[in-house]
Amino acid sequence: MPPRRLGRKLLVASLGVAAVNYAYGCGTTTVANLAPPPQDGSADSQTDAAKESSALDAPMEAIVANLAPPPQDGGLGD
Amino acid sequence: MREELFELEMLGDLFERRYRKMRPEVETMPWGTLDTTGIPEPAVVLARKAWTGAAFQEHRTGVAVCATLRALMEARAPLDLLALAARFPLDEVVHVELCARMAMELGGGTEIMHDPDAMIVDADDSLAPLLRAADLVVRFFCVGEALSIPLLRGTWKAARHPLPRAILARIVRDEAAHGTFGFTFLDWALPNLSKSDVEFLGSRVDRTIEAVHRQWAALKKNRKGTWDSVAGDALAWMQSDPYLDLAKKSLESRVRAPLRARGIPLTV
Repeated sequence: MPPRRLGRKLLVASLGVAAVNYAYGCGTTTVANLAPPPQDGSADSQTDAAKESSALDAPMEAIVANLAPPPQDGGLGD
Repeated sequence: MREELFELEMLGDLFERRYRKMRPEVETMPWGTLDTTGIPEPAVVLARKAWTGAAFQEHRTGVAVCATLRALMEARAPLDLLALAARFPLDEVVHVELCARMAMELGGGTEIMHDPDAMIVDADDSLAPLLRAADLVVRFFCVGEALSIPLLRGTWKAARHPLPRAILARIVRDEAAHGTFGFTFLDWALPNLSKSDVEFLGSRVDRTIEAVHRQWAALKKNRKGTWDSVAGDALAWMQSDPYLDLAKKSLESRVRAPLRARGIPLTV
């Protein structure tokens, strides 16, 4: 049996930091088409640090663009 | 329904070398030069969140362009057009890596849980192949990608630090081809679609634009009007109000106008 290939981590998530959940009913207000992670709080369980930084949340919304709509909203899946 | 953590890995060795050879520009970027000293910790956390989110959204866009590519092949789209579209998945993989590495440069990714089975809404498989392809193209390319280009360019212009500038410049350069692709496809496909097909496409565009509007409304509602120029310059932020102004103008000029010019009926 050939040896198992192990990859090296490229993106490592810090659990609990600025958490976002796209898996369960989180897309009703957060369309991904032209925005980064949701900042409306509908699916976030943010850390204290992230909560404190809410004043800076809005500008971050503009950082991303070329994105497909999620199924729950812009993806016409409802 | 699955719930999985969004993390990424590289296999390395020969495979990474081949990948680097395909897209050498990734390694020429000024990695390791971002100094977050002096930037408030909450701003850094938000930047990590934003770039992790960007990686995730690029990942989803990768799924979208793959779904579209499959539909285009099933529709027997012209081979040269297919060849162009075949480049898009690799572009998105590169963008995923760039955004992920940017998040890591800032201190690491943040937590994103997602359902890998529900990344996009695929086309209805009961539709004819050409209409399936057209449905995906208008949603993902004629709206999503076309609208993203000016917004990405605006974000790129807002960036000051060489690293985010290089990342955004790369993405903008690639997305330019993605943004025009959809309309090129339509110019080929529309003569082969019926009036009801075209009306169907219009309804799909309408729904997508409505979703974009809801997103903008949420952004407008939640914007705080706070602007930290130090953090903004270093981390590539664009303020919400200019973003929304540009987005509104771009939706008209880059999406609605070219679609209407091709006879796609829009109501929103």
